Amino acid sequence: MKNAFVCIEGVRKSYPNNQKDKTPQLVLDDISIDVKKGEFVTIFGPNGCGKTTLLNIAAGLIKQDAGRVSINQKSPLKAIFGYVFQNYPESLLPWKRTIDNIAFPLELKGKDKEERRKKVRGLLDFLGLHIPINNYPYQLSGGQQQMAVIARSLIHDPDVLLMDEPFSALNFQTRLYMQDKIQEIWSKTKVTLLFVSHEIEEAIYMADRVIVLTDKPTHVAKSLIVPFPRPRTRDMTLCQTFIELKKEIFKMMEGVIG
Amino acid sequence: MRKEIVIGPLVLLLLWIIIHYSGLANPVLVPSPLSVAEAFVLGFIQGNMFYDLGVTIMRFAWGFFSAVIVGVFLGLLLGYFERLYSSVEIIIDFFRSVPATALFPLFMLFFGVGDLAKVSVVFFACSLIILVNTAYGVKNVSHLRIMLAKVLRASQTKIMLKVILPDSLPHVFAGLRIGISFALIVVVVTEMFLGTVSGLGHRIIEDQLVYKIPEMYASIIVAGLLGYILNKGFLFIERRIVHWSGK
Repeated sequence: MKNAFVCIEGVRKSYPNNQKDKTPQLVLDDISIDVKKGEFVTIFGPNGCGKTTLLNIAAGLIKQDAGRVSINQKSPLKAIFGYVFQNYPESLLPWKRTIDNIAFPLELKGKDKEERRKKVRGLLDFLGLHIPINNYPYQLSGGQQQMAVIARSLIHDPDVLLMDEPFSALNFQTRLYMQDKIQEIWSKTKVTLLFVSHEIEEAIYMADRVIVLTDKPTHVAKSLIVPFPRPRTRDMTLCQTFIELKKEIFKMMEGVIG
Repeated sequence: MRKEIVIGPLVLLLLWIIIHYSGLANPVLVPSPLSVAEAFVLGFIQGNMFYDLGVTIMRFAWGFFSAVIVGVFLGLLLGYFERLYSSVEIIIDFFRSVPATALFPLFMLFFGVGDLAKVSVVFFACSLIILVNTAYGVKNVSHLRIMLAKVLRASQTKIMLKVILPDSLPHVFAGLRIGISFALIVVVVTEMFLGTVSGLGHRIIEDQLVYKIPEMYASIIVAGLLGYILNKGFLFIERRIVHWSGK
């Protein structure tokens, strides 16, 4: 699909095995993924299969060995990204108040302080996020830090939002809350969203489409459309179709592990 | 303020009194607290303690602050360019290991017996510590925060100013804290050398030579108080500026 909004085509990447053994090991093997504008795609795969590497390549942070990536027909270096890192608490700048952390992408663009702060307040209002923005990041709870990072990833109107297992550090309750919150934010902003997850249920529950990756050397095992309407409810996770989807992914994983 | 903090000083004072009056130690070498207090007060109102204190502070400040400017600047540079650091690492570590006061006679040959030699040796002692700590801070900046700036397409200059510099501040301040203590030691020692006519170190050595023991203690106490206030004041500022450190 040449006209896809996010177009990942035949991407390959090898890494040296380890410190001693420098022979390159193939991690990403011919990965092709197309994402439509405004689509919510989860990328599911076993641990260590190179999901983070794939996101970093998509964002233009590391260079692939082969293949190409384009965002809206352009190089990823020309696209605007929001990126929620897996270890997001560390990605907050502890010397800045939360409001200025959220405004950081605007600060880099040279917007003045008042304008930045106004935009942050507007965005938080729009998304219905309640964060004590005058506190420093280390004074926030885990969930609040998460929301601050998400707000920061959206403040500069990105073309694509990348999220790398953003909920892995949260407790169960917060996690469920954030799953719904992300869907709400996505519906409001209509941002194109690539969400990496290693939780089957989460991957299905949230997405329009789940892309299942194999173990190393990683390729796309399957792309599954999730047919449920939005907003999603927890009841849907109990219906037959949901369970069938889950089974299908489980089966693919068995192949990988077995 | 917690009440128990006065216990230690009171016990120390009590021990001093006991040692002086019991004759456990030579009372000439351990004069009574009262005579020291008298020398202390007289030093300020009749003698030129204020002047000597001021001179010591000035030498300290010149040496220390010039070391801050040079040390932080070079530290940022060397921390950022790893190969540059490797190429001068041996030199830095060697000179860092030379006790600064051992170089004072050499500095005197170059800069004479005046203030310039003293300030230079203070500068020498502090700048390397500050440089090494700053470089260490830069090398230990969070990769994730740099990645964040990169994904937002920040320029190298902006990454330096908005991520690397603030992120390395806790280490910079650790260097400054060590530097302050160092600078004070070095400045007082250099003032004890021949040819010096002012400063706390000069007072201490002069009083010692003529056996004005209470006066000597008074000057030592002033030097101690100066160090104490500098350290406490610095900690106060440090906690304000790098408030996130250790959190």
